[in-house]
Amino acid sequence: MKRYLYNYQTILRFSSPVSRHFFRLRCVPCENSCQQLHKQALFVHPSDGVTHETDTWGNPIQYGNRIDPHDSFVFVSIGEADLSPYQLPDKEPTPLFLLPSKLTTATDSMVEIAQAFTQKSALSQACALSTWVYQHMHYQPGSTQSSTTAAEALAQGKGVCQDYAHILLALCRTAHIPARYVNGFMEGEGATHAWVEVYDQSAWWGIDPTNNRQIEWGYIKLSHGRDAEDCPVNRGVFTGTATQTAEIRVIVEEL
Amino acid sequence: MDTLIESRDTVNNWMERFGVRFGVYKNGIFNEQLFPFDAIPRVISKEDWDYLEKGLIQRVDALNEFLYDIYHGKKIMHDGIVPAEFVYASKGYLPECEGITPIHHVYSHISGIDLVQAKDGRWFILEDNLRIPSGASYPMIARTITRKVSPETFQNNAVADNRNYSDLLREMMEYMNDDRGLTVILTPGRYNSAFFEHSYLAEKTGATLAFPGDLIVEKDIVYYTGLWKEKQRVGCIYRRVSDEYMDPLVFEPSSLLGVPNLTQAYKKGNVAVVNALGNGVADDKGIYYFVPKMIKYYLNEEPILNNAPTYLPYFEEDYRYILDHLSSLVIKDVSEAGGYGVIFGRDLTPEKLAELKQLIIDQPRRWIAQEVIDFKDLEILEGNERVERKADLRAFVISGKETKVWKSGLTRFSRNPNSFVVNSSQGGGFKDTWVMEK
Amino acid sequence: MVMCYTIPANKANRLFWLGRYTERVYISLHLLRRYYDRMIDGQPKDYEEFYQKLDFGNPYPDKESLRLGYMYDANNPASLLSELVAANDNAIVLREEIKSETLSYVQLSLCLIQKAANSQETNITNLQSITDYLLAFWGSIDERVFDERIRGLLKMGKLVENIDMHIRFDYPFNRIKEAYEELKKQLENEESMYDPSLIEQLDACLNEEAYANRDINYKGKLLRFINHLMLV
Repeated sequence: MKRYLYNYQTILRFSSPVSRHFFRLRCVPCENSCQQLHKQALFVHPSDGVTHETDTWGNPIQYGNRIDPHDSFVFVSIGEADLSPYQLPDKEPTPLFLLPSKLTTATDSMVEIAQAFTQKSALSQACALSTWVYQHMHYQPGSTQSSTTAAEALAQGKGVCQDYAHILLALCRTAHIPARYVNGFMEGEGATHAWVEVYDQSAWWGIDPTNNRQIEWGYIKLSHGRDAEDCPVNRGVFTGTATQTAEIRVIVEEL
Repeated sequence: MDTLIESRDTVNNWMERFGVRFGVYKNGIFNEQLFPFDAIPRVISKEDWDYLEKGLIQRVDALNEFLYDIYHGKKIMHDGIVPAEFVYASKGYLPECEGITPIHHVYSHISGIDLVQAKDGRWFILEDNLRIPSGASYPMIARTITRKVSPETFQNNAVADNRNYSDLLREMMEYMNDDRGLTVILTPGRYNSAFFEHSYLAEKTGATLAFPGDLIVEKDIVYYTGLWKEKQRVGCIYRRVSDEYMDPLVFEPSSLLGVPNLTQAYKKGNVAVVNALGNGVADDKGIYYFVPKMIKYYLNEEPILNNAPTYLPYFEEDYRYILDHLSSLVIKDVSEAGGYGVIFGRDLTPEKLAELKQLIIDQPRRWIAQEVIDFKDLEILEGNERVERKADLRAFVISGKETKVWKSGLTRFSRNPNSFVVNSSQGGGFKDTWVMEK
Repeated sequence: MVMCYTIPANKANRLFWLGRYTERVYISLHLLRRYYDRMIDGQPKDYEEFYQKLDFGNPYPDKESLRLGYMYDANNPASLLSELVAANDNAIVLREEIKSETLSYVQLSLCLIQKAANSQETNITNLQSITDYLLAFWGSIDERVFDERIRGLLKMGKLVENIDMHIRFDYPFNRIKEAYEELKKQLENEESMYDPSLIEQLDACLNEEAYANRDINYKGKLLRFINHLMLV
C-alpha cells in the first residue's frame, strides 16, 4: 500500500453575476478495493448546501445550488488516498460497457484494426491495442474538444488523454472486451487525467493509453462510465448572460 | 346522429372559440391550426369495448412490470425472454434510471396505445406510447361541444360519457402525490404543438400549469417558485417534456426546458414524475415484438390483444417462417439508413424474391417481417360526400391505484385517400370515439 | 388537491399585460368610432393627430389606408389586429388562471378581426362585437376568477392602460382621477408590486388645474410616471 496526497481546485469566474446556479460535481475520489480515502474534505463556495450521493455507475457525486447572484464559484477537493496495485474485482460487468457509446462508436477501419490483434487474454489484447493507439496518435493539447468523438480524433491523428481513452474504448468494445472510461488524477499531472479500465478474469484493470502503460500505482480514480460524458468533474447551469473562465489545478504526491 | 352531422360547422365554431388548436412549424415559423373535427363518430360496441378494455389493462400492466424489471432485477433478460442487446441498444433505455423506484412502482401512468381494426373486425396493436402520449383533450372538448350542439343525439344513443378523463387523471395524480404538495403540469411552453392540451388539462384537473424555470430543486425537494422568493413544495409533476430534456445536469446539457437536479429529488422519492423517466425502453420498435411474451412471462396469462403479427429473423423459428412464407409477408428494412424500405412479398418476381431471401440470410438482424393486414377504413365527410379514409385509435390507459381505460379515445384519420399517415401535423383530422353502454 | 397560491414572475407579468392589452383594444375601438366619424367629412388634421398622440408618426399616406391600417395592419403595433394578437399571446398561457370561458372572448375577438382583415372589410359596425366580447371578458373575470391576486394583477393592467390612454387623448380629468384612485386601491396590499416613490410623485402632480393646461411636457411626465409605476 502507498499513501498519496491529492489537492484539486477549480475556480470559475463569471464576467457578470449569475444566479440560480445548479451544479453536479464528481471531484471526490471513489473508494474501492484498491483505493481508500484516509482523509477527505470538500469546499464549495458559494453554495446553499452540498449533498453527497452516488450516480448510477456508483461514482460519488456532490450536488447543490446557489440561488443568489455570485460572480465566482470555487470548489476544492483535498485528502489522502491509500492505493494498492490497480485491480478491481467485479462479478459481471453490465453489457453497456460492450456497446458503443455516443463518443466511442467505432468506424469500419477501427473494426479492422481491432480484428488484426488477437492475443491470449483480453488484458494483453487491450494492452496491444493501447500500444497501437499510442503509436498512431500525437499528443497535442487544444487539438480536440470535449465533444470530439473517437473516430474524429483518430482521423486527425492527434488529441489529448480523453481522446486516447475514447479510441482505446472503441477498439476494445469492438473486440468484445468490456471497457470503461475513467476520470481521475495522475501523479505528476497538473490537471485531471483520463484512462481506461478493461475487464478480464473477473476484474477491471487500468490501462493508460496516453502513456502506454498498464497502471499499477499513482492513479487516483474519481469516476467511470461509458465515455467522458458520464464523468464530468463539473456540470452546471445558471441564469445570466456571463461568459465564464475556469482555472483548474491538481497536485498528487506520494507521502 | 344526423343533426350532429348537419351541425358540424357549429361544432367547429365552438372549437375555434375554445382555442382548440395545435401548433405546427412550417419553414421555421410557428403557426397554430385548428385540428379538423369530423362529425361522424367512431362507434365501438359494448362487446368490442369489453374485450379491448381487458386486453389494454393486461398489456399496460405487463409493460409496467417490464419497466420495473428492466431497471431492477432484469429477470426477463436473465431468463432469455428478451435478449439483453435489444434492451441496451434501445435509445429509450436510460442507465441513469437503474435502481430508481418510482412512487407506487408505476412507470407508465398514462399510456397511449395505438390500435387498428382489420376488415374482418379483429383489432391489432400498432404501437405503445408510454412516454408522453397526447391527444385526450380533443375528444374531451369535442364531446362537451357536440352534447351542447346536438343533445338529441346523446339522448337517443347510449354513449359512455368521456368527459371524466380529467377525473381519471386527477385521481391518479393525487394518488402519486400522496399529499406532498402541489400537482403541476410541466409544459415546454406555448410553442409546443400540444400546448392547448397542456393548458386545458391543467384547467380541467385543477393542477398548476408550470413553465420551464418555474420549478427548482433545493436539497432534493422540488418547489414551484413565485414572485419575490415565494415557493411551494411540489409533490407530483405531470411533465410534457421528454426524458432527455428533464434534467440538464444528467441528460441533454443544453436543455432549457428541464429542472436541474430533478433526477436526485425523483430518485429519493420526494416527487412523483408522471410518466416515469426511462419508459422509452418499453415502447421501442425493437421491444414491441416482445410484449405478448412479457404478458405470458409476468402475468402468466395469454395475451388478449394481438400485435400486428411480426417476425424477427433474429429468432430461429421466425427465420424459418419468414423464408417459407416470404411471398405473403411485408418485409421491412430496419437498418438506420432506410435502405430498401417496405417490400410486399406478393409484388416480387421469383428472381427478386430469391434475391431478398439471400439478403435476409446474409443479414438477419436487418429485417423484420409482418403479415399483411387489410385495414377497415372509416367514413368521413368531404364536403357533403361520405368517403372512406384510413384511421387509427389511440386508447388511453391510466395507471394509478388501479389500471383503468378511458371509455373513449382519439380516432385520427388521414385526409389523403392514399395515405396511411394519420398524424395531425400531416393535415389529418380527428373524430369523437363513442363507446356504447349497451 | 393542494391549492396553489404562488404566482411566478412571468405569469404576473402576463396577467398585467393581458389587462393592459384588452383595455387598449377596448379604448382603441372607441377611438376608431370617433376618428372614423371625423373621416367621413372632416379635415386630415382632425384624424391625423391620432398617431401623434400615441407618439408614432402616421405611417399611412391617405385616409383609406389609414382606416384599414388602423384595423388590420399586422406590421403596425397600434392596429387593432396587433393589439388583439398581443392580448391573445398573453391570454393563451393563462387558460387555467382565467378559465377557458374567459379566454374564449379573446379568441372570439381575434378570430373576428382576422376574418375581417382577410376580407379587408371597410365597414366598422361588425367590430361592435369585439366591444361586446371585451365587456363579457371582464364580466367573466369577475364571475370566474376567485384568486384576489390574479384578479388584482389583471385590473392593475387595465387601470394603468386606461389612465395612459385617457391622458393621451385628453379625456376629462375626473375620468383619470377616478381610475387612479381605483388603481391605488388595488395596490393597497401589494407593496412589492409597485414603486411607492412614483405614487408620491403622481399624488403631487395629478391635479385638475395643471391637467387643464394640456401642456405637452406635463402630459409626458404623467405618462412616464404611470408607465414606470408597476414592477411586474
